[in-house]
Amino acid sequence: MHIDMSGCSDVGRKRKNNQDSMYFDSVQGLVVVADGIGGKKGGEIASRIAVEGIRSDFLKTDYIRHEEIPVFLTNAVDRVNKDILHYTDQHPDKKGMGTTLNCLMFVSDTLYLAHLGDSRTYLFYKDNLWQLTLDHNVQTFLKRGWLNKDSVGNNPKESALVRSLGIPGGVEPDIYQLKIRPDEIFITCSDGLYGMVPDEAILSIVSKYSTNISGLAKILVAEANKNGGQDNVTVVVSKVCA
Amino acid sequence: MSRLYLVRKNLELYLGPMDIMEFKEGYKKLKFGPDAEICSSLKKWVKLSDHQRLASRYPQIASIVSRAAIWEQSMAPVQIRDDHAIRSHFPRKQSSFFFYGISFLIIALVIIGVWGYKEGIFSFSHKKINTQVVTQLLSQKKEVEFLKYMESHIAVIVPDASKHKTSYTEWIPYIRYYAYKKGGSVVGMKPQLLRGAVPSTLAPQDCSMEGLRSKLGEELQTDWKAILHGSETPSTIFQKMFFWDPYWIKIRVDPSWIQPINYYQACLIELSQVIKQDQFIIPTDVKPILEARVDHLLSTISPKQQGFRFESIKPKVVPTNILGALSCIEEDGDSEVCIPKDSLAVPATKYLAVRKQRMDIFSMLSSIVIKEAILSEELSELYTLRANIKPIDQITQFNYSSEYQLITYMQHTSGSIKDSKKMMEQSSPEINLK
Repeated sequence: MHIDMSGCSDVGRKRKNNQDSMYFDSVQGLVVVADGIGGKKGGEIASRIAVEGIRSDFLKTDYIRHEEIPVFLTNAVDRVNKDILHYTDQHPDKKGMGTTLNCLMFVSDTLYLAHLGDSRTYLFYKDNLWQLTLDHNVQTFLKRGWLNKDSVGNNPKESALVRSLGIPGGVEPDIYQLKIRPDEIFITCSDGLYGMVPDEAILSIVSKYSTNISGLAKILVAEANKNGGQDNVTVVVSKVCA
Repeated sequence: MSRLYLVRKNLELYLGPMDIMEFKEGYKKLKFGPDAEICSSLKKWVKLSDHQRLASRYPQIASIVSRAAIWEQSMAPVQIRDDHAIRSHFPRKQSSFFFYGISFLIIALVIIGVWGYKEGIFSFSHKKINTQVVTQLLSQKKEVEFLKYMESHIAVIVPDASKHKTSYTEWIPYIRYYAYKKGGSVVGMKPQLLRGAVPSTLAPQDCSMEGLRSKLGEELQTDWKAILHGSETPSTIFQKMFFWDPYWIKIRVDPSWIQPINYYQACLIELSQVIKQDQFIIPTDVKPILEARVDHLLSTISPKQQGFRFESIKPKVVPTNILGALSCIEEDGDSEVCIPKDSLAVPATKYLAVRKQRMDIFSMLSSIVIKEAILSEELSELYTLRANIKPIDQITQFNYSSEYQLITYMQHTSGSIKDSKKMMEQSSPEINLK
């Protein structure tokens, strides 16, 4: 099996700068998408540190066994978190900056997915679409009973992040595993996509253009902008080919 | 568009996509259990144990889950004897066909009767084999007599329990009691029937001494020193057993177990014997560490300490490896003492920090449940601890959602522990809150 990828990142229609960052390499089987948080370009810096850090750690690794990958990902995420915090120590005006993270590693017949925040990865297969990642926001945590309503105040912003990079004290990413098969398509995106394009529409577009992977990411980004483009939007599409 | 489902185990491992038949097969083969979640395209995730939501959102799935029972899994009846071997061959003569036919029938009936009596099927004494006898023996603490009774009737009990759901349900607690006094196996009963509904991702499929010995045999290449140092994460179920949380185990009761209290304790009992008896596979300098760890696990789960109780012992020895550190934490040691950062790899210290926080949650909950009172600061602290720690343990895959749910109930009932316990009894009856 091999992976075909395409990616696109856009500032959107309303924002002045793009705080999203992405990296993908179909030969290496690595995808990283990060959506930065924080004013004064802090979000842009944080997301770039995250993407560069994961990419750099990955490229330094010669050989890694399957059972070591979750540990590798946890360590890599922890390192970039420290890098972000170190940066804010050096630049106090950027205090509070952070970023989400979705990192996909395709290793042999398995996908390993490290996730923090509310960027998402979807799985498309035979006209079905599933959201693989759990949003680390107030809404999800309240629904699952992992957060107490009192602890979030009277009118909590449901989209507020509960977990992300840039938090002191360490972070623990979700690490998912999935055996991959040909014709599966993974759509990794920042909230700029699903905030503007409902899941049903994402399914419809991917279904229509599933044989045109090279253009699919751009098509999804265009759809988000067509619907308002309120936020930066980044999409990386990975298709498993026989 | 064919309807496909994705199953998620422990919020980490995805299985599928699969169609309904593949789901049925997977559920039957215990590839995933009630703790798993399921989702179809564009729909919401639902836990397989959430019968109400499952029935309303995925009725076909709910129907499979509700029908499935361990005893219905692929089970060929135990072949005690091949009846087709009992055949007579008489030379045929037309004139005496009727005579010989009747003779054959009579002889066959006699042989079947004798065989059936020997097997106890037609024996009058079979009518006396019921659980009343064994229940009485155990209530009178006559364990020796109980084991003798089981020994003499096991050849009848096991086939009956293997074939009939009612008999299985009735007898399995006693079969298990008997089996785990005899090395963890019973002739004629498949390991999965002894195991019950415990997922194979959490515990070995076969925790008999033989089963665990064969698992140990696969560990020849294990770098135990790297695992003890924390530079290598345990990857096999066998290795993960040493990382089990005894408090998670001891509060999980199952009415189909009398002794041991559940499958996990049963596995540890047999594991202890396997390690003690091993002479070739575990390195000699590693063996005492593994033995000590299993002894600690068993003593923490022991009958004297059953229930939602946290025993603070205050360890005396500073650990030098990850298993010693775990035992130290479980004895209520401080992080500074229990987590020797100089002796352990960074991933190990991180993992231990998480285990320590889970231990803090448990010890607080234990104190609150026993006192039946909670302060608002305590509830707030519990929420903070819970939000920081995932409900699924990274190594053991033990799921702490039920413990977390108790905290939610405490909030919903404005700190009424009695009401919280009642709610827990309904939603999570497997948790022993006494």
